[in-house]
Amino acid sequence: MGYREDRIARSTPHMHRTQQMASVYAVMLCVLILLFLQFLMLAAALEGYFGGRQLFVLPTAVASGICCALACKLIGYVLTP
Amino acid sequence: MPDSPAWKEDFPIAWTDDHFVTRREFTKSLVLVSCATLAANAAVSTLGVLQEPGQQAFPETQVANASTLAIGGSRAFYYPGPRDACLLVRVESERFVAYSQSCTHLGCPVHFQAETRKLYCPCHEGFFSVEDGRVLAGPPPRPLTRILIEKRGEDLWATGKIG
Repeated sequence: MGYREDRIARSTPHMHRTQQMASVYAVMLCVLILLFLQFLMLAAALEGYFGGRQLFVLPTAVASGICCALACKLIGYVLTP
Repeated sequence: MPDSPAWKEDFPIAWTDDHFVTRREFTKSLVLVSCATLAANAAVSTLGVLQEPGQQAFPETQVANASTLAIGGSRAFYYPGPRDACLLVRVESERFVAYSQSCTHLGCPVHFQAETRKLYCPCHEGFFSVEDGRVLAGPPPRPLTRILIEKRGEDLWATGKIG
């Protein structure tokens, strides 16, 4: 095995590790965005509840549930070995 | 021969310095916060569905005596619950109106201004019509909640609310 091939072979685990780190950061960013959306939904639900606009309350819960399901799906990619 | 063994090139980071677990744990905790937010949102939704206006039956409560309230005068009372402050106004000799005293903007108590015949919220300069509770000026997004008033003899009874 030549010097170049040897370097490539040795660097493969490191590359894999870098890719893993990038995917963890990507998932973290997506979950943060989803969490931000959920906070917006919760604020809208509270505003609707206290303001007497019950029509807005249920759709915000549905949207929050979708965001939570997506976050759970994303965390599955990170936690799966 | 090099000083460090070859395997150290493949694993250059010591286990104690490895922060992968920390990042994953952080992301996992974010998802837990997401679940908690969903639970809070579901709780608010459940409360909202349970308290829909159409499903509530309002009690009939005597709130004042007509003879004790001058024309252009106002009186505070609580309806339907002991913490639901409302305002009764005698607009004309035989016309009484009542509204929830909670401003639809941020819940500050509104007051009746006899000289301008308007309901006034001092917090953010909101004005409501005393005739029907609609917003005349300021940031309130909706009209005031109206309390239904019935005159039975000289007694004034609150029988329900609209809005």
